[in-house]
Amino acid sequence: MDMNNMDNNLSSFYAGKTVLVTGNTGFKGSWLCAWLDQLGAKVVGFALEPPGQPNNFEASRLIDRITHVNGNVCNREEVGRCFDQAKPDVVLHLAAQALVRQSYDDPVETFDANVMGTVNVLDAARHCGSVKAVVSITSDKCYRNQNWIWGYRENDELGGYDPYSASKACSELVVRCYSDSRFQKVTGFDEFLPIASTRAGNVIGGGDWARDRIIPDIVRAIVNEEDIVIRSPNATRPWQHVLEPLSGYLWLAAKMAEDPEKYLGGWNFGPADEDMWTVEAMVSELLKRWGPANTALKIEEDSSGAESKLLRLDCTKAQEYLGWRAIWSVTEALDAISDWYKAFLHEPGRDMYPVVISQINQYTNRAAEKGLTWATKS
Amino acid sequence: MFYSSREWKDKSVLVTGATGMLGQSVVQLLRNATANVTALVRSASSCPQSCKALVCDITDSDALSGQLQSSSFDFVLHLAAQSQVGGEEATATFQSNISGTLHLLEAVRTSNPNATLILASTDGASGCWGGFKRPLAEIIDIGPYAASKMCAEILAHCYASSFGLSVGIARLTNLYGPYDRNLRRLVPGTICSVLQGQEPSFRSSPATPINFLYVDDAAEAILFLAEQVAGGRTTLRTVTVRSQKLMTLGEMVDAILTCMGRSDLRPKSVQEDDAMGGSPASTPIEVGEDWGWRPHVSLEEGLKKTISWYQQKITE
Repeated sequence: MDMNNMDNNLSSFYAGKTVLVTGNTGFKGSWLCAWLDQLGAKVVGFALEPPGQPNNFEASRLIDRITHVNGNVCNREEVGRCFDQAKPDVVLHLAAQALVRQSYDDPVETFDANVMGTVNVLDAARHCGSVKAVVSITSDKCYRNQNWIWGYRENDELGGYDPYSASKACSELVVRCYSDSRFQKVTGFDEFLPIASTRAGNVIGGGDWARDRIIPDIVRAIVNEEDIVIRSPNATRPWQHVLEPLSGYLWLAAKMAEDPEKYLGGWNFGPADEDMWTVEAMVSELLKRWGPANTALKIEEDSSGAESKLLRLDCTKAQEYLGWRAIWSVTEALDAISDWYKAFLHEPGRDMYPVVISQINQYTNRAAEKGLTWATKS
Repeated sequence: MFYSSREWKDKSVLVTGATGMLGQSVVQLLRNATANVTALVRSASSCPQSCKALVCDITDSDALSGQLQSSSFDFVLHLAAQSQVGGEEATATFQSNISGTLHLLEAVRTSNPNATLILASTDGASGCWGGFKRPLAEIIDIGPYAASKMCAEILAHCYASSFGLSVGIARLTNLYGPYDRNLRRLVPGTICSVLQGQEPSFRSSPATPINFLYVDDAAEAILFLAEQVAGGRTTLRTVTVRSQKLMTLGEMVDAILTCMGRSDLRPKSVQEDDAMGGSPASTPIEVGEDWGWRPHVSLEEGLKKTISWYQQKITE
């Protein structure tokens, strides 16, 4: 444990616990591993190689700080072996093919990773015998199509059934099935294993370089001194800093391990309703933080009308049962994001872990000020 | 008859699950209509005699694609499904029903994109669907079979909408008929008990209402739907395939006993913990949309055909 470790309800649960994170090389997964490391947990990651260069997993030198196992969730044997060796107390399942465009190019890979991957992880978690709680991370996209499974309409707009969203709806069903206590009993597991699924909004933060995502696109445009083009300036998105849902996942898993029957089902960890920004406002705020850059905001409005409506996540359940709330405003999130990328770009190749940890500490302090249970000491 | 024999003459049809209860019946209809039927099977020895065999692992879409490339199918009837299970087979249910459907859809997309694909699904009357109308977020009590079939439907929707495949989804009710080798099910279980001179038994309450449909009716519905989708303007159609009235499990057993001339036998109740979808739910059944198809095999006729198949099997 280092000096940065803060003494609060999260750390008192996670210190010394073995936590298995799938998808730890991804954007969200890498932040989660850093946080767990800061909390004093023994972190085992199971994931494919990092998605590309650069990436937060390598930038934060996490390979030196956690136990990383290279593997694919689609490979049942690999998953089982990793779980049996790690004997985790808590499992946070993030591994997924998360890009909508990629899902059109390779639907099989997307469904395999997101649906069968979830089956494999949940089976491994049941069989290895040590697990006290599983949190499976899906997406708000599973909501967009909420109606179409139940009532098919001939005139449903095309594109509403993209393979990514469909795969996430399937993985929700898999989680529902595995989390059922009767299912667990019938399939030979007498001790109930709590499994929950969670959804977040549009997650943003430092260290994201994924294709087709707004923040990485802006950063790339700034680096390359190109203009940034947006097609739906007036669309609002449930933007939130990556630490927001992560605080929810961590606190939920801790509570589930404590009281297995009480925290079942699906959980939303979205941004506050009053803090919804349009794409245009968000992009220009972020650009402002770079001062007079060579990047201009260009709007080429897409008139096809294909833009989906504003998505809101109702987070009442998380508020009521977990005392969870969003902490950072979009403004604060954008500050943290620009700090992160500026530090990275200012000194390429530096270890970003201290920056990541300092942002986690800032976030935790703010949460403690606001009196959130997870961030305080009971 | 709703489907048209002429439509199927010389058509090239790929069938999965050809050896199953529904598959056998569909293959028979196709043979009668002189279609060219190919059965997708794991090994050549399991291929019905009346079909060409396409030996391939359904979860290997590359191999499947290669196989499909060389033959141009007009129709792909995906009837294979791992059915109700308990215990450790839950994972196999997901693998077969989700992965199997996924790889078949992908192979059709990449090598036979103009084929019409029919997916045999379930109407949700049995098992733990909890009804189609509940939002996803509220579904908790769902068994592996129902979950896997819902996923298969989602996959079919996705391939129709995102990739333009012509897809029909037939949500089938509880089928009975020849070739059902699962003696844990009420109809085969009852018939075989009686044939062995034993009292039949109930695993669920005899008062449970169920929608039973004779398998040949379901097979006709599959072909009729395939014709509609192939000739229609939409790329996706979902229909419900069920009989027009409910009967209780008790009434079904009585009908079988009458049909077999053994009304003297008294069925006994064996309560089992069979909550994962093996037992029919008592949820009210919605009447599906009228899509122009009706069953026409009477209960008596269906039972007679079914019973005579089991009689023959037992004497063999």
